[in-house]
Amino acid sequence: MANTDWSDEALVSGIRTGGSARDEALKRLYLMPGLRETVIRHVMANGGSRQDAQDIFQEALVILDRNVREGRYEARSALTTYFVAIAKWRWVTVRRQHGRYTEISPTHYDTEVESPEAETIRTEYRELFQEALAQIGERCRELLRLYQLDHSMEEIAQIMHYNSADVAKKEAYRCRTRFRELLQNNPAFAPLLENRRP
Amino acid sequence: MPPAERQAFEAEMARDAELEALVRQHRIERIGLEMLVEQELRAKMRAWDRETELLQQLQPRRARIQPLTWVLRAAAVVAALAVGYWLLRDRLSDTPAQPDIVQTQPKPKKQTPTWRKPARQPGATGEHNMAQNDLPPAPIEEMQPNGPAIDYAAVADEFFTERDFLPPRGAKGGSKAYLEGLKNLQDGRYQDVTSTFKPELVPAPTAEDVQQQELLAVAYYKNGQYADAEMTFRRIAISRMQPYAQRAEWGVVLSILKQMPQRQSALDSALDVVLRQPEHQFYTKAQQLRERL
Repeated sequence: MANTDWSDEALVSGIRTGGSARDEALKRLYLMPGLRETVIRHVMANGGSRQDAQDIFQEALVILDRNVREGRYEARSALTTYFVAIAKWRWVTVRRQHGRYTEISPTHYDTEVESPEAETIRTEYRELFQEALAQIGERCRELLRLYQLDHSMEEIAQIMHYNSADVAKKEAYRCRTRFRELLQNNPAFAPLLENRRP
Repeated sequence: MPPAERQAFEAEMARDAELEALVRQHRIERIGLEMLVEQELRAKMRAWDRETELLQQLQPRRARIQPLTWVLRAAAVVAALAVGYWLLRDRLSDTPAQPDIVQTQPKPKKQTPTWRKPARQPGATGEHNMAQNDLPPAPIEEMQPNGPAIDYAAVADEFFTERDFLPPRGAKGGSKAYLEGLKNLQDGRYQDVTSTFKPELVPAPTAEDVQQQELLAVAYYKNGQYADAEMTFRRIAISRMQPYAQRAEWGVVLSILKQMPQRQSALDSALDVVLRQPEHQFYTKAQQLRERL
């Protein structure tokens, strides 16, 4: 049944459940009246354009989805407040990266967000990651995406038409190993893997 | 991880360089793999934006339709009044005039015209009696613009691959009902499949629900019920559950192709849905199809 009671708990549970429940919950947040406008107002009042604001709004949803799935959202504030806080923090980071802003990021929710190092890796190595992902093939990408979303091997076997959960598990291992090798064989990743960033 | 446990683990990592390297590698891999989830979510956001744009486009049209309805209603009332007046006027003019007092001879009574059956032409059939202008309308196919004839059905056959939608023969993943249906389909018993599964999808479907609908859509397609196949594929596409939704978007294209040439605009928009997403599983095939057409 479709969920009509969209409390914060229901949204968080939908995102964590995955599949169509996650889609519905994220869509609900994405189209929630007033939420986008709040982010747009903030970004535009702080030196951004409407396009910057739209980008930040989308990035905020990506981060919120990840944080909720990885258990970083602790429900210390309403989900929409958390969303807006992520967007504000993200806008501060973007401005700082572009050398337009030097203020330190807000700290009142820093235990609920990803480490600054992870965020830097994500930004700096984005293209290299995408290059590696492009080389593992469509089937591997789909399998690893489902794996990343915590689907069980039974579910993955069913969705991807594998004969059994065991076959799916072996395939996941093969795909993951291939991805790892691509990262390891790329000299650009060496300092990152050896923890001696340039 | 609870803070105490986390601290203990970090302390252990500080002591064990190998463990630290492993954890680091695992973290980096996860960051990379998260990009797959992000890409998919961004594609979804684009789709939601398109939906919203479409709704916004429809909104003013609805608003325009409202006054238009009133104008049409008023026009209908005026037309009805005009027809009424015209009939009334005719009837009034048909009323015989008051006899002139001076006139002694009564006017000859107006005779009602008698209808005569037209003389039947010897050997003429009813169809031949039909006037030249009363020819039946040309079938829709004949109204299509002239161009090189395309055998759409053959093109669809060329692009349809069962493996795109179904697992190979003997696959074991799936519920008992699904596997039975799959075997029936692969053995050519399409009607067994179409009579087993209901053509409907619950609002928050599970992967199994969508899988069964996919089986049903392919069975309709293989059975030549292309309109039913199209509707079933559309239902799956709307669920947005991947990878079924992308496969279904491609299924919609092929089902419409089988209904060509009557569905040109539907085919164009179904192809556009795939071609708007370069990351789509069937993007290359859709490009090839558009070039063929």
